[in-house]
Amino acid sequence: MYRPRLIPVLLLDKNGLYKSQQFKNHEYVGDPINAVRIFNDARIDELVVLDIHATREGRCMDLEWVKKIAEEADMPLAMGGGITSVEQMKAMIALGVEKVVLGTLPIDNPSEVRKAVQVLGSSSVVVCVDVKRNAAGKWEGFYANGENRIHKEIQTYLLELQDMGVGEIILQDMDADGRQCGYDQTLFSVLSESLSVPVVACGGASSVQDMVDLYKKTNVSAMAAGSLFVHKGKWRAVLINYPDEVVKSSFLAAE
Amino acid sequence: MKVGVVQYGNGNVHAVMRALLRCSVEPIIVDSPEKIDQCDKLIFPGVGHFKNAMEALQLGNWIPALQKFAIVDKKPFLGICLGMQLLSDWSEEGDVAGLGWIQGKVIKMKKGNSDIKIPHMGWNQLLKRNGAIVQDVSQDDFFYFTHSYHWSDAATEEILCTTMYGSEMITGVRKGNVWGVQFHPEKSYESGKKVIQSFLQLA
Repeated sequence: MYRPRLIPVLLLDKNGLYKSQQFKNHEYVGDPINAVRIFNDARIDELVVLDIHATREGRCMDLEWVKKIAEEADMPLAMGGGITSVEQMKAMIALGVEKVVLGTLPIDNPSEVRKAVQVLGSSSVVVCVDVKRNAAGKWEGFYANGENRIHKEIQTYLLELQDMGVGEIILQDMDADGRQCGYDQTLFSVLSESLSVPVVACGGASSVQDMVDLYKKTNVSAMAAGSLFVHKGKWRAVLINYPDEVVKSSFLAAE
Repeated sequence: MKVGVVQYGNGNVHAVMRALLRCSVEPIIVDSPEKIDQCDKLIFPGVGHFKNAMEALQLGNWIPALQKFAIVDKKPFLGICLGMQLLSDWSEEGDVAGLGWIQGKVIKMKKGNSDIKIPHMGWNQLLKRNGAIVQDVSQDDFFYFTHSYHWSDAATEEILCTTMYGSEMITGVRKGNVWGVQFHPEKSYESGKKVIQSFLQLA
């Protein structure tokens, strides 16, 4: 039986891992290699690592980091940040990444995304879309660490991504980021409904129960979180953690 | 015993190398067809598009050496993910012929009446299991999958394992010494280790 994934999302900057709140106030949470080792021992379903400032700084994510992290990773690995070409994606996959995560490229150069799908196959190409509610209560899409607005109706854009052939879409709820306020079920339900590719929901998870609930009530294929897996307690002490097999198998029982 | 991991194109050999090291095997990276001769067993990974991979195999003049190893000398050979699909007669992905070592074709996954998402991405189990390299796998073991095309039209006796995703899919094939699995044993922790270890123990 298919089991949905619980995915830690780590935010990488030049010298380590950070965690944000609503895409701001980045706080240092530790060394990436150490985190990967702990997650190896926890047998996590998958790991997403995003270089949050790569696009703004006009560079592709540091391939040295990609190499170091991939060499250490027992789990399936998706990584991204500032990727602008199929050549960079190939280099990352050669270093041991299963999937590359794109954000800006589908806006700047959709034909390069189609080319990536042709060369690497759909299942290796993932796109991350940042979502925020505007003053009118409508969801809008953003990219480049939530800094730039996507000037399109968000559902239209998601379908465009699907037509480009991308294999998976990560939706990041910017409003809920780092707040551990629970997932916005309406957001993920509405935005994943019309898509035939898997959707990964990210932003707001406060517990594994939130993840179970979201999976039962919406069409998403995976639940991702940052804070839940790197912080513990109300003072947000840094503690890398992940539910054990027993808790994870409660998903199946919940079916 | 020397185990080689074939590096012929866009694939990622590092995860497989790492998994072999954990099984206490020091693998060889086979990055040219000449190195195949040194190996007793070969693992054939693959990431990407079927047509591109076939072109890379032809361009690098890999096919004669691979044929000699697996078909003439009949040494143990394991294809993983795209590496399994390449063993087929034909793929819809690019509409090209494969190596044709095991009967079957590779077709795009269809949603049908189910509510599945495509690609099949994530963790799933093996429903039917019939063959030495999956002998230690139980119905509780989970494996990591990431694919949007799948094997079909296998000869019944050459089906190694199947997986339920919308409908029952063939996720492993076997013909004599040639094995193929759709999932990634190298990224499936202990479950995957069982498969790799059983492959290493083959005579």
